[in-house]
Amino acid sequence: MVTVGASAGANVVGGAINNAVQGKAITAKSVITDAAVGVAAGFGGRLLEKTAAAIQVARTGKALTAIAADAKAAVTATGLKEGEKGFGTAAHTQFKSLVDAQGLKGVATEQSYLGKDVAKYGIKGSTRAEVTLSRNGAVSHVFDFKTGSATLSTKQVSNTIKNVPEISSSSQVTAIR
Amino acid sequence: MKSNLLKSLFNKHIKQHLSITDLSCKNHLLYREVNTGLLKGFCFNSSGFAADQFEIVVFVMPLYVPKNFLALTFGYFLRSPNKRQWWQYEEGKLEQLGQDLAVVINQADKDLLSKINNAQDFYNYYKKDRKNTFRFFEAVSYSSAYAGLPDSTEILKDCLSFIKRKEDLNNSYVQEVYHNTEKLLDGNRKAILDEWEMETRKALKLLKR
Repeated sequence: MVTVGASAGANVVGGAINNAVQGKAITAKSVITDAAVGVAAGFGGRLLEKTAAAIQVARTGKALTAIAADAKAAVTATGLKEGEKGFGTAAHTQFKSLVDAQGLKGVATEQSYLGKDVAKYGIKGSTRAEVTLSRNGAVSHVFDFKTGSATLSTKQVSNTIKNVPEISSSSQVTAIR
Repeated sequence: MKSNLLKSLFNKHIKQHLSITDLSCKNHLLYREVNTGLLKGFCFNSSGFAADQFEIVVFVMPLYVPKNFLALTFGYFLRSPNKRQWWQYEEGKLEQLGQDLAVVINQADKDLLSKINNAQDFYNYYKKDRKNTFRFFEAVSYSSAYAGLPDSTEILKDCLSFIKRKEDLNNSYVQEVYHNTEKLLDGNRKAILDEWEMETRKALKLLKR
């Protein structure tokens, strides 16, 4: 029973995040419905918390994806094309500004971490997470905006896992395009 | 924000609006001289994307927890009047900026800094959050030892159990905390914590005491 419950929870969580990242039309309601199956099967508070966390990640991922599109569009409007020199920097600046302006719940930008501590900016060896989502006072997910052909590298993900508190799996690090 | 800009902003536009009188300004920090094992203050972090943007973080750092960098785990960023994380530095609006910063600094002092004046205060304030992460448990349990609380042995043992249960012992930072906690359980706690405090002070260049 426990194995089935954990699996159901993981599927709900993973599915919500994946759908958000892929921009699929999965809604919070459908995630709740998915989760309800698990709850009905007898898995109470922990699954509900996991589901609520997954919904928060999914919503934030969706909002950030929309902001990323706006940021890229704003830079494109200046005459720069994605992939050209300078586009990435301009888009990241725009993205950060838009994220900050939205004031999304639990979201912070440009936070530095070292050894699972929050660190002052620029400390040698630290990881600067572009966007962090926190829940109940702890980081639950890291998002990184990518443009052009840039991808999340294995090194970037492993450094994030090494340095950011409560990030212990690559599934908690997502690229936003 | 460059450190000389902060110094100028602090001296000309912030200081006179503060209810706190003993803040010093150094590099990117406004802080209180410490003699209780704690560093308390405000860190100004610059944005990597916009030179004229910065965030301000209020924090308490227990210096007896060994660190070689400024850790801001025990704190939070202070939002600007328009509720943003990032503040704007504009040459023509420094008086307003100074007043706005003073408001949030005064409030954060009231909400956090004034409540934590020694290791026991730190322990009392954060013990309910000790299970957030091993860094919280580390600081809370070491604070209990630094304050000489009678149940500090149990709290240190709980910290070890928490790490074993929840953390990846392959992570070098986790390993270090685990071994440090064992060291505290086995050795002269006060002497070890005092030594760590001196090392942290040295790393942060805060040797005045």
